[in-house]
Amino acid sequence: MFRLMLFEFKKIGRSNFARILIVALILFCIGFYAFTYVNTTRIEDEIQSIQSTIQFTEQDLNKQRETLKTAEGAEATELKNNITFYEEWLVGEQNKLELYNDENWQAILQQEIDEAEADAGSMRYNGQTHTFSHPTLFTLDTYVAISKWMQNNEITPLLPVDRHFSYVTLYDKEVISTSPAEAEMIMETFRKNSIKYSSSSIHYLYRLFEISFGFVGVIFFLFLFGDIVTKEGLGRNGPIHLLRTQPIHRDKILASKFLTTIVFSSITLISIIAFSIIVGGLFDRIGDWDYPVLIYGEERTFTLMGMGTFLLKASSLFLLILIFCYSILILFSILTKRSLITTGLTLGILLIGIGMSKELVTSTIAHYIPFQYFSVFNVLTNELALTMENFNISYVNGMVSLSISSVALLLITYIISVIQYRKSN
Amino acid sequence: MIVEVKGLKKRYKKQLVLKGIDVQIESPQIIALVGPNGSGKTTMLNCMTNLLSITEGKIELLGKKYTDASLFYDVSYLQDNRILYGNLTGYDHLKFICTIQKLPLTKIKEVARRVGMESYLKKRVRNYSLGMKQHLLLAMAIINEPKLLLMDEPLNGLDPTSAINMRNILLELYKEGTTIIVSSHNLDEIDRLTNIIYFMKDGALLKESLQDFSTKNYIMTVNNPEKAKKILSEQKIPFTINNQNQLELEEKMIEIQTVINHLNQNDITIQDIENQKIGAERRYRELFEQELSS
Repeated sequence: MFRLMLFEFKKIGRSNFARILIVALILFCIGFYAFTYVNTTRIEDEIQSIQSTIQFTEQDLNKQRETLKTAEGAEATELKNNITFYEEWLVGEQNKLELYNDENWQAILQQEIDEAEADAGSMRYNGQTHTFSHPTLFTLDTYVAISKWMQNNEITPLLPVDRHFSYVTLYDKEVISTSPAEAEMIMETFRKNSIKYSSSSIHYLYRLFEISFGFVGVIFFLFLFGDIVTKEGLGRNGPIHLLRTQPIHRDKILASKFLTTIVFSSITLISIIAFSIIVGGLFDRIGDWDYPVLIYGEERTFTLMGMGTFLLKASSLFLLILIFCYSILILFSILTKRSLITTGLTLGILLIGIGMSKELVTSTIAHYIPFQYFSVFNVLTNELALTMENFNISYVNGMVSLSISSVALLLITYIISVIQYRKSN
Repeated sequence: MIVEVKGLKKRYKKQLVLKGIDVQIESPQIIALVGPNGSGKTTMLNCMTNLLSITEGKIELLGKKYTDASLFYDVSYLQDNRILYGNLTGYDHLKFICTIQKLPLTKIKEVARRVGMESYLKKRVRNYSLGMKQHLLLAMAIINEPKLLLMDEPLNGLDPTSAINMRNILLELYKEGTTIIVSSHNLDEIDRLTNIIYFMKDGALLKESLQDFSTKNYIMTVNNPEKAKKILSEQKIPFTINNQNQLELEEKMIEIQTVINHLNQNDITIQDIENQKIGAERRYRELFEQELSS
């Protein structure tokens, strides 16, 4: 079996189409790293930003102090209050600047925790427990939990550290503003800001997998490795007959091809992980594998998961999705014996399946449908479950559903191939 | 028993394409499988190698059931060149077989030299000519020194030199004890390779040894064919006249010196006598006269 797999490996290596796809993948990974690198907010940026703010505020204060010399009455009182406020604020900013210069994350996080806890306490006091205005109580609570997690695990937070403008959750649906259009625009900016980039290995990998672990990623893998099972025309004349006139058991040929696709897919994922570790390590740092990821629960509850564990789970779920897709591919390959038709039918089934699963997402059978789990990150963070109000759509159910479906498809394929062989063309 | 095929039937949908084939080969031989397209030659070879399932019958090769994949350690099947991987080199193909059959890699150079494909061994198969592909297929088939070699149209696309080379290799293998069953349309080459021919017609097998037939024919050119015909008829000597107005006499049926004497005594000058072997083509013509005329 291993020898057969090596032969398949050689075939892939020599295929120009596969080479083009692999080069495209490498270029995409490099390009996405460059994008991440450019969009990463660094401590120097933050320090510069604070310094500019301080400088600007000091200049403004000086102007106000000058104006105060000639001001009288109410205007003078207002100016004095303003100056006092900004002087106090400036002290805070200078203190913050010092913390950033020292890279004192513990203190920075503590400041955030204190402020967020105070805000949360105030909201609780006012009974604002189930509102949807940013920042909601849920958002503040998760922010505090995430900050404490980072403190306890001595994790460097992603910048900017700012609960007001760069942290939103699914519950933050609006901001209070006089103009609805402006409110929507602000909310959109908050959502955009909450997607933070870091060129460290772990965060780069997180973002890379976030955009890849879905339908697009599945299609890529199907095109890259689908040829292994489709191109030789299983059961037709063609190179498959070379394998069948060697001392190899018939079932082993099919099994080795299937296993090869799985092994190659795993190798590709591992290579991407290795690539991210290398480039992250070279140009930034490896990062914190236990960086907290928010997992939504029912009724405004939540848990946190280390990013390493999260990525491991995401990879395993995506791999099962690929296995499920390869099972469909091998079934069609046996049925149609045509490479192009097989790929077309598989893509068609995937599109129909995913489309139908969206329609059925609230039904009681939703979590049994394997197509439901194609948005890996949304499944793992329970965003899909929360949005669709169906918490049966979970990682565990996804693994079970995809495994059972794949086994069923492979069993059907095996039975069909036995029947076909008996009928023999 | 090297090959034992009993009552082999193969049905495609409703059509019976092999109608109860029986083959028994006990000692090494070279057997040619000859028949028009669609007569069932390739189907028979594919059934023997389990590429196609059989409808009825029994097949055993080298004492093993035909479904036993392990028999391919000793049985090779040279198929058409669609089995080759265009992206891989000849070396890759041979290495794969060596790896699967646990043969030393030194065999690759050995067989490449024997077949005459050393110069393009490391080129990709998609750049091979038809003849080069046939060389590779032959190398793949003989690298394991099989006890039984099945060949489906091995001479396709071969230039005369390569065809002679292949014939010599097959004769060498035969001398080394390999049984060869070769299907081919090249009747001249078959004549040079063997005189055991299995003619296939409509899925049935007609086994013949050309040694059972008159193996030689005399073709005689005379100055007066009409007079010669009369004399030979009077003497009750069997003969035919070909379209070039030459006398054709079967060696088995006549005493050539007697014929010459009769003609000389009657003042008929024999301008030329050609001694021609009755070959596969002649027998083929006899068997498939109807198809040929249509």
